[in-house]
Amino acid sequence: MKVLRLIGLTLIIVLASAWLTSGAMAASAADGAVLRVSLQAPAGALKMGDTPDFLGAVTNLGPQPVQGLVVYLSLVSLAPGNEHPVDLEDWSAQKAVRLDRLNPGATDFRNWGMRLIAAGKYGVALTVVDPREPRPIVSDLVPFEIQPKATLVAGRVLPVAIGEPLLIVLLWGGMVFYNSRCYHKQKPEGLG
Amino acid sequence: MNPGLILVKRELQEDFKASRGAVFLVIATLVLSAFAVLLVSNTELSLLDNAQAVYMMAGIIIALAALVAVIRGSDGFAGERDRQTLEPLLLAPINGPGLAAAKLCGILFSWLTLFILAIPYLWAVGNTGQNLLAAITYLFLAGTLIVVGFGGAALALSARLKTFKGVLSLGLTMLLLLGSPVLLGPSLRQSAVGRVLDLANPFAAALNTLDSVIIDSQGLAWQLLRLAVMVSYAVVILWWLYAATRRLEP
Amino acid sequence: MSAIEIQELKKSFEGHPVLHGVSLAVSHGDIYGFLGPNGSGKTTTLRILLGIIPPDAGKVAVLGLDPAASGPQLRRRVNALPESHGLYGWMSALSYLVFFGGLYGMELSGGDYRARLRQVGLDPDDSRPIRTFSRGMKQRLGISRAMINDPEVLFLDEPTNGLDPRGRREIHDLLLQLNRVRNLTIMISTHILDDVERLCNRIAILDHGLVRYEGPVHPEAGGHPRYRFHLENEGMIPSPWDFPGISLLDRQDSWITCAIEGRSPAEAINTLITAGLPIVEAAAVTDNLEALYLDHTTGGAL
Repeated sequence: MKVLRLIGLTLIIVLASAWLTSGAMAASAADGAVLRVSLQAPAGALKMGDTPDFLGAVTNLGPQPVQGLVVYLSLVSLAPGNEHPVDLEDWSAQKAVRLDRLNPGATDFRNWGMRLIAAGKYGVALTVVDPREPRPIVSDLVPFEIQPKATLVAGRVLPVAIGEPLLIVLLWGGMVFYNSRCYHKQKPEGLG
Repeated sequence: MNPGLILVKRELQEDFKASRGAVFLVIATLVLSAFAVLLVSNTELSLLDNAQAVYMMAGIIIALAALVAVIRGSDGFAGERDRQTLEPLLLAPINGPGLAAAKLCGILFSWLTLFILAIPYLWAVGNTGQNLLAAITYLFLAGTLIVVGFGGAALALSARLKTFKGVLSLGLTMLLLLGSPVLLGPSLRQSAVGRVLDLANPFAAALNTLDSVIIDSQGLAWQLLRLAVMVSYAVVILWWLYAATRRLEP
Repeated sequence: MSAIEIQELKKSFEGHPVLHGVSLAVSHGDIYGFLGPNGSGKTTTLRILLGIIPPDAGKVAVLGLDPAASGPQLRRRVNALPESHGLYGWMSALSYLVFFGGLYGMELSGGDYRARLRQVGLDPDDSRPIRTFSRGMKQRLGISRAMINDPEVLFLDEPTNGLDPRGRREIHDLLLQLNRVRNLTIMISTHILDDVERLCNRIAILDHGLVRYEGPVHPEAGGHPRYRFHLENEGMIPSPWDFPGISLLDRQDSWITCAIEGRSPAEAINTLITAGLPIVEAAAVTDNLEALYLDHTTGGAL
């Protein structure tokens, strides 16, 4: 009798768990919202000042349309020992978009433009948030390197920095010298 | 030739023949050169840092312009009074506001000279950066309004007060008072009081305009309110200058 | 109509009264002396006459114009040399004159400016800055500047201050010449009684903001300047005395005192010497003017 009671209790627990689990999966299966997101770096070397486009793609793999997706770009510096997030304020004018509706099987392709402000190693990723899903979906981190560009050329700055004050002093000194030469040629002081 | 133009010509000649203008230009170019040479040590600034450097250089130029406007304006009438050269001018058939206009033109020419000398520095520092042409354009615009404001105010004080030293100390105090809020930290400037101070301060308006144009790459529409603040100050000060010089005394 | 008319002129500075009711009149062609101690109000009066400062009360007219109301218009017809020259030390004499000529709207040629500098004894080709000039040269340049617009009335404040005797004499001769040739009305504010004796035909003595005396320089001698001449030989004094314009007032040993009318002292001396008087010394008689001044002023330095 005790054995039968024990078997029955075990059976209830297993069936209940199975039911609970199958309900979540069902909900999942019943909604059908499965998204795939990818990001592709531009080809070729990148340097400071360039304005490349990163190609992003968000695909609806599920059977139902999805609405109100928020897609946004994230940038991190991968400088060894100094990894940190980068504020996209000055790098990108369009950091996030909202997709009203993405039909089943449809892909939203979008160019994410950036202005490469500073040299270094970086990683960029595209994130999609579905308000009905608890977990955002993130693309692979796309690493890229920005080559430095000399924004200050010593050969341009130094001639100006040295030349201008020197020019003014020479012009002024020349004028003073010229005037003093003229004075020495004048007659002696008059009466009075 | 028009008496006003004759007076302006004399102001310009005095700048160089009496050496006061040449001395100031040498000092100003040395300051800009020192700043430029400091920057050269770090040739791989980010674009943002490069824009920041151009902004800082433009800020130094505006500060030098305001300073020369206060010094020249203070000397305008009080200095002539100290040197006892004002009375013969008052004997001429030219009225006080006419004299003041000529002196203000002289101050503006000094600013123009400083601006022209500053362009090569800005080009050298910011040529491969961002917004250089906009920086030069707005520097000229804001600088001119600042010089009219501070120069006009100093001239008005100079017309009423007796000695150059007295006017100069008052003028420099005015410059410091208007310049000091700019030194407040960003959080204080973002407070309600800080924003009102910024808005009502022509010096801050000039610097914020340069920040907006050079660093944030914002266009004319963003600058209209600040330009309006600077223009309003200039208009009020010109009216004050007119009233203060209607009856000039030796 | 007088060249200058002042009636009951009053002026205060910061509540402190300087002029208490000054009244005087200057006729066209007069050389009018304006005497008084420091602080008596002379410079204030001159500045009011020029329209530089307004009066508090009273009537002022220069060439029929109210200086306070018609300042710029009046200043085209008058000019002044202030006590401080007000010269720009960095300019040359010629450029200084050209600058002021332009301010007055004078359409003069380069030759005209040069002639005006020569007229006051300055070299127009001297391109030295004015700050290197002697005081006398600066004074001459100041007078040249004051004459740039060919004024009808000239105001001078201490025009011979700091000059040596030769410099003072040259300025006197220049002013007398301008008065004679152009009928220029001159109002001189000065402390130097010898200048008044030589130049002026009428004076006003100002003290504590009021005119204490207004009239001829020498009321006893009918307003004519007096000179004492020392003769080498007292027996050479002609009798009868017959020199038009030179009245014999007194003789004592080898000294004679004369009043001179209608001619300059230099001309009078020349006339007497030509007539055979052996004049070895000549001196203006100032003791009466000094007494007149001291009688009408109280305290204060000259």
